[in-house]
Amino acid sequence: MAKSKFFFLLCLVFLLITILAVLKPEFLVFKAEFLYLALFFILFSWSWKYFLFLALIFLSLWRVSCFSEAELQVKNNFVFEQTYHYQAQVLESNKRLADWQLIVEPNNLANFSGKILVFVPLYPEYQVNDILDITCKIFAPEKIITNGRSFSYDKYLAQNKIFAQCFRPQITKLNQTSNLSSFLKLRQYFWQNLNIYLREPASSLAKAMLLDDRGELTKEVKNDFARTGLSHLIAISGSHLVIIIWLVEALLFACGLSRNQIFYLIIFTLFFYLALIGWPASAGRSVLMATVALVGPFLGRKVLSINNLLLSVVILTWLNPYALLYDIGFQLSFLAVLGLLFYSHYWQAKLSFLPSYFQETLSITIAAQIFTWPLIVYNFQTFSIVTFLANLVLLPLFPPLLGFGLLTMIFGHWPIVCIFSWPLFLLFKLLVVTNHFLASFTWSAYPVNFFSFPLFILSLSMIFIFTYYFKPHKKIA
Amino acid sequence: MNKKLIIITIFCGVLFLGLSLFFDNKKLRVDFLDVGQGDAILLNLPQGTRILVDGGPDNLLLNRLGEVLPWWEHKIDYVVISHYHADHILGLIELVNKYQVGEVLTTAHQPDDFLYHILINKLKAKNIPIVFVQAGQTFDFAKNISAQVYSAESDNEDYNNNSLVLKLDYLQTSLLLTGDLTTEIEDKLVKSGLDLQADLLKVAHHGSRYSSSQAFLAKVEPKFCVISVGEDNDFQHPHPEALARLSASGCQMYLTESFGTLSWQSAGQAWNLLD
Repeated sequence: MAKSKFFFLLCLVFLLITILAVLKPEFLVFKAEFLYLALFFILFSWSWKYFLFLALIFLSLWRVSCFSEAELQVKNNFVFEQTYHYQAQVLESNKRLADWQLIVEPNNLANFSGKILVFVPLYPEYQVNDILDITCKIFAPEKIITNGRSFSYDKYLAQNKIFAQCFRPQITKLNQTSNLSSFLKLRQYFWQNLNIYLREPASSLAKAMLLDDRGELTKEVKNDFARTGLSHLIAISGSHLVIIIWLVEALLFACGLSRNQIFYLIIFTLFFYLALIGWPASAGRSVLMATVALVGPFLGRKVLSINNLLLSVVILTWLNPYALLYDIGFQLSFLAVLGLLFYSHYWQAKLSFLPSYFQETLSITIAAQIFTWPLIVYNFQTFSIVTFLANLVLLPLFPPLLGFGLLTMIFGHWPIVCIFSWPLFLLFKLLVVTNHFLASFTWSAYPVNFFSFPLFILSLSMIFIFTYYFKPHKKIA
Repeated sequence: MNKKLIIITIFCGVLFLGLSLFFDNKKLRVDFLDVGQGDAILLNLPQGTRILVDGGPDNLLLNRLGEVLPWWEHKIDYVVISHYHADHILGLIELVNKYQVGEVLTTAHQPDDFLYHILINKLKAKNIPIVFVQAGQTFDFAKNISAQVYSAESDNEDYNNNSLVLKLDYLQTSLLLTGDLTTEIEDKLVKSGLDLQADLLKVAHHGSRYSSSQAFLAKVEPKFCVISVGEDNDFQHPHPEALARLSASGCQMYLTESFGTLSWQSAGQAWNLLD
């Protein structure tokens, strides 16, 4: 078996076992057996292949077991729906339109380990690292069922070790914020610049696009972006990073730096940016994909391959075994990149009669849609018809939006900020008005209520089978 | 991105700028902003003065302002605070971070309330002058546009009764802003003999059963009644009894929960509801 195929199979086994273990935790009790089997094969038969497979199964089970241990303990030992009095440290604070979501870690709550999601009014304000004295009724997060579709909100929160939530508690601040990390201070500075120098909706959109802070977007704006299929613009996605890389590369190239220096600085910039925005999952996977894509050509390899993509997914699944099943953003990213991998060049060749901009934008949009549409239709029960037009019309705004956005964010306190903030505000207004116009037609998005889970699996399987036999990525020559 | 696209983008921007300027007309415009369960009303005066009455219950105010204000506008000349309940002032705290506010007009009521202190401290930090108005005062905001203070009490236990009541006259059209007034103060106003007649009425206290008395409505004779109310609110506003009284008064009712932001315009002869 070729090395690449073997690697592909290893990755696949790891992912499948992780899914199985997350869905059926009772399977976890067999992890020791797999370890013994692996050791048996390596000691007595020197069969590296079997050893690797079995060791990987053990590692997958061990990882899921470690990851879900605290959650199970809380589920089994903690009594929910009772009023508790506890002290906690604020780990994260997310401002929303009408309230704040605080993620706190209690330090004297019996039978509870993990974090609690606390919903507090807009005022008074609390900051990261504040020590709070909290009294509230603690609830277990539950599945949310809307229109017959269930969303595992409990598992979604458990990804971040959040196992409980409380609403409108009584709070007394015990300690003022003291030692904020440099990253946090810098993030606050950037957040303030985007908050003060831009008005709405530009301010909330800029915060979403640049700092991964979507709490202040109105439901109308979010709905418009969902209808036009442009929700990826208001989250930190791969396309953001491609543009940021492009901007940094152009700047460094203009400074006369060598290819090697530019490569290392770009990698440094990406990870610095990731740390700045607090390592959110969406940006994390995009940075990882971008790094994989950058490392490839640097080492003289193909830019992006199915194995590179799978390796990224394996790393991300190792870090967070729940992501593969319960994080729709993660699933969408993976499927979109898969689509780009197999279909972008194919469609580019098919659309070669079009001017280059239309050719590139349309081929990327179609390719990204091929694997993602069943997931979007199943989860959101809508299919955006206007998305191709919306991408064509609005994507050109994206690079200047990010460029001016970064400049406003960085130079906010300097008098020159208006040079960047005015065009930025105008560009955001254009984006919102045009996007709203495109979303306002009754035909912009087609509601699909009949798309059940079996239909979703069937559609995705058919697309995989078709792609396997059709091999579009090999038909570009 | 090639040069043509850059040129097209710049052209669209300039076109948008031009259209924005073109659409800035010279009439009195009143926007009852859809801020959910609360009040926020923006008055755009013909000469360009902008007055914001109350700030709604949260920061949705800033989005709603962004929808109705021209994109280049950063200044609100006057902010009027009717009274210090959260659903009327919360959005104002963030407003002063993003907009230049000329002056704040409010009653002398100074509650010992943490939200009040947060707001007042914020205004002081931004050096925004606070003017305490009194009943009987008249403000000439622009040519032919004056606002008279009808009530500005400050010592009622019920904050709602400390609501600032303003009547705005523009030639033959008028607007009565009532905050969260209850029938207790409405009765006082009825007995005061003031000219309460107004063709556009901001219905008091989101259509509460304890506001909009029959006698008060008979004096106001509103043609159009606007109720600023949030969908599925905890207070069950508007109350059917209040709706029945408003209906009996003969006014056409408009609810922000159904219509969203309600924009009215007057050239001085009559109010027109904009699409």
